[in-house]
Amino acid sequence: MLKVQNVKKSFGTNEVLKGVSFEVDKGDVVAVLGASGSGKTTLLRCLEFFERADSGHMELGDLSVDLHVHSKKTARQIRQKTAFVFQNYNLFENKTALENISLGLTAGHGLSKKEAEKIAAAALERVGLSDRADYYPCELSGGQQQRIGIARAVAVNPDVIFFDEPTSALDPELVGEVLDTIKALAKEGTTMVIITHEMAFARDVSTKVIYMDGGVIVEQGPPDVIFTKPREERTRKFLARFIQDFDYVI
Amino acid sequence: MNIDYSFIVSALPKIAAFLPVTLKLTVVAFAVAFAAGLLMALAINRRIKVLSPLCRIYMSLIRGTPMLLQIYVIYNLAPYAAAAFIEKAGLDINVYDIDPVWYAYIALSLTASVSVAEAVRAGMQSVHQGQREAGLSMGMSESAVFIHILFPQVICAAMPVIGNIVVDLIKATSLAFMMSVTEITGEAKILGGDVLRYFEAYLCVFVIYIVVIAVVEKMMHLLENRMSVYRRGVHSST
Amino acid sequence: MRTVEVEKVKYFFIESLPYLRVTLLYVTVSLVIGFMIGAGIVCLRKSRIKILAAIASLYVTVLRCTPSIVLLFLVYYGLPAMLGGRVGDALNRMSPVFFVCITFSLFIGASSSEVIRSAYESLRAGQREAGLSVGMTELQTFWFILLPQMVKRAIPNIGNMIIFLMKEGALAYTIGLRDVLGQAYYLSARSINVYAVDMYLALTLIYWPVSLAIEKLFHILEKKMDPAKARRSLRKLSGGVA
Repeated sequence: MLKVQNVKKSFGTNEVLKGVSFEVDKGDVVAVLGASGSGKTTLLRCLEFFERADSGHMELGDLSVDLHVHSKKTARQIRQKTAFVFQNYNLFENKTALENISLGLTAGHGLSKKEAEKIAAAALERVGLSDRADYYPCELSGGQQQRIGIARAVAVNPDVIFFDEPTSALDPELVGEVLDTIKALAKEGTTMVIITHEMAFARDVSTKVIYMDGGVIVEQGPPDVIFTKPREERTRKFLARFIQDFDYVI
Repeated sequence: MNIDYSFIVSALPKIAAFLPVTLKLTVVAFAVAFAAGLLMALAINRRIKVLSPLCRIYMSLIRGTPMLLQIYVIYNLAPYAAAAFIEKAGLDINVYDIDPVWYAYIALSLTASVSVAEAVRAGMQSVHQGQREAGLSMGMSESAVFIHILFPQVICAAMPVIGNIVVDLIKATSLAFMMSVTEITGEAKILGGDVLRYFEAYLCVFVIYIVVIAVVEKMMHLLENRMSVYRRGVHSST
Repeated sequence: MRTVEVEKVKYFFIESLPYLRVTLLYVTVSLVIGFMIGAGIVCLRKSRIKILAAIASLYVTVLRCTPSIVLLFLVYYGLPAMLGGRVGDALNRMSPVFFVCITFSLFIGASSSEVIRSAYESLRAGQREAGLSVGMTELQTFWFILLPQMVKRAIPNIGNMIIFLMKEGALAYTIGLRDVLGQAYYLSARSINVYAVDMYLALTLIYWPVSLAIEKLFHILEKKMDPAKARRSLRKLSGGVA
């Protein structure tokens, strides 16, 4: 359903993406792993047109877009079919929780205000925050803000949701509630691409794992393969370090 | 002391009667300045070719010259420009029929437009880039993102400065009499000149300005509070 | 509308430029007296006598709400009227620059009190104690430790005040002040304002560069007085990690 081909991107002389290709099927939960600086975030930002890739191609459903040469209109069409969950939530500061969700539906997808509010209320219910509908972001904890960020993404019923390290800005005690919310979405068959450093979560939830390093995909495959018997030495080293860290934390 | 108190008592209401002119000058000049300032801030921030450097030069020029000079330039040269325009457009208007208040609106809005542009630019800097990206990721157009998300936050951040701009504008209207627009200061000059009681007349104006500005400041403060509700929140529990 | 005559612009420019000395005079006097008033206001506002503190803050509020030209007229017409008699007559014969100095001293008194207060509040706690602890007197501590830090903080504001004074002073041509603008208008009036456009241009060519120069000068001064900031910006330029 989502097909990404040969994405390249440099910032100045720094080549961040050196030709990345992958595919996502409907219902897939793709976990993207890799050390910081490996190009994961830049990859997702190119797919959402926050960065202009130097080259690359993307197919989403019946849309086919060149990632370097695209019009504002096609960028918007893709964005209407996708949603993005940010590392630092990026809830609209001047809107309440409910308005944060409904604004995307009215201004972004042309729904009537009434319909939008109904869907927004349902989305809030889904992430367990109905009682916070009229709260402003500044009144909510990081975990609550991120759950609303997820509700905002789900509400527009996108083909795929991109998650950019959705829990790394959170205090450790708030990580759990957000991961649980994403897990619930996975169970319902939502298609997602998630950049994460939460290895246990990636192992449990994903249907496919991508490991990136130095701007390329080193290895991709089903989680039981990647986590237990990775083919590449680099993947093994990375996982060893992370799983060790992980064990310490627990 | 040589002060005529009875003159003050009789002049105060006569001068206050021209308060609507002062307020009209303020409101219209602010509206012009706000629109111009916003457009300039956008042109500079988007680095629009030719326009952006032009705006910068204009802002530097206005900041670098006395308002009195700007007023005289507008008042003395604008009629020529208007005449040329009327001739070109083939309109049937006599330049001398144009109310000088129009020149006053323009002259007063020059400085304010520069201040608005600066305030808006500072406000834009205070709004996080992520707010725009979040809007775009929801499938909203650039203009929808601007209207619903960025603009309200920018204006809220700029409100304290905008309050000062309005106060400065009220004070600047005291120069309108130099463009033969009679507002409170101009009326004081006329009344005081009739009987050579300038000091008493200006004392009245002084009091009126203090009261008016105190009230306007209070109103701006309330407005600012109302607009920034989202920064404080409405639920005290958290 | 006729075209601009370069000769005329040059004439107005050369004949008016020396009158910057009048500007320099009233700017200097107003700043010095104004800052003294401002320091007094800050002390009064901090005083324990509530009435005095209230009067001081009322002064600041009232001055902030007063247009320059209104205060200028009040001082110009009011001082002689209020003092009356011989003193009043003497005042009536005073040069306009005297009234300009009083007016702007009053304004700077109000605005500088805010500047001084915020500069004082920006001092890091413990600076005074540190000075006293090494055996300096209160006065020495203030003079050598606190004041330099406060001046550093106030530098950009002082630059803005000078530009403000230079531009607002032009209003005083209405009471007959011969500063740059006053002189240019006087010359222009002698030729029944035939060359008004040339005069406006000449004035722009004086005020604009001078404002820019003052802005630049204070920008440099600000950097010079803050070695830490200068180093930081250097580091930023060389791309190093702080």
